[in-house]
Amino acid sequence: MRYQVPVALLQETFDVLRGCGGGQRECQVLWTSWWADPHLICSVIHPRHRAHGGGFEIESEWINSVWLDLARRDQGIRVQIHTHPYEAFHSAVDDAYPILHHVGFLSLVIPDFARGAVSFDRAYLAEIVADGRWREIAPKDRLEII
Amino acid sequence: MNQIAEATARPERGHSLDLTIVNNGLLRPISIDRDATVKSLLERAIALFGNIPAPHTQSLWTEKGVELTNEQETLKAAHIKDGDTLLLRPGAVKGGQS
Repeated sequence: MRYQVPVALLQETFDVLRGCGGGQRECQVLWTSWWADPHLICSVIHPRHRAHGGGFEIESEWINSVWLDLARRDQGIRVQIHTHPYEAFHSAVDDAYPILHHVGFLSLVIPDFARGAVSFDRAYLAEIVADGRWREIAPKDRLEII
Repeated sequence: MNQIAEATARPERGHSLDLTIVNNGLLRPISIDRDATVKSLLERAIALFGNIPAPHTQSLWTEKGVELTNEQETLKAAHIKDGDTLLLRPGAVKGGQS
């Protein structure tokens, strides 16, 4: 699936990643869309998490609350987005502990604690394929900024 | 079939639980015997949502945030009741460069 990402939500994503990480800690946000219109990303969620310069972990209680909240809002998570301090890539931890393990789920990694341009430049996008592994895919093939 | 064998083979009425499983904003109903194991429910819940190629990463949680960790336990022993909602989700979510 190719998702449409409103430019305002992309800006909000970078604002949250920069503000939370402060150029010193990694951070994650989630993009959701309505189940009735899954192609159009409609909100940015900032999970409760603890983080350091080289990683983050989402609070377990928060996952429960967002699972129920998504059901109330009739939305689903489509993409997880997190920062790395330097280069963007998918680490072994990124591979093993995503918030969703569904085929087609996307994980976008933003370099330099998101302090660069508000774009997918130097970003790394990975997608879960049928055998459960992640494969790199060009952002333009799955994400369209509108 | 004698009476004892017949009673053993026939499930008693009222032993079924009607549950709701939640995963990524979707709700799916499921009916299962209260004497079924947590493992059995987990396998059926994963199958309900399909396209989860790493089922070992998933577990069931109550709405109050308790993970059903003992997969051999029966639902009755795990205090799961008719009408309960359970969450199908990964146990841990993390990431990062190191």
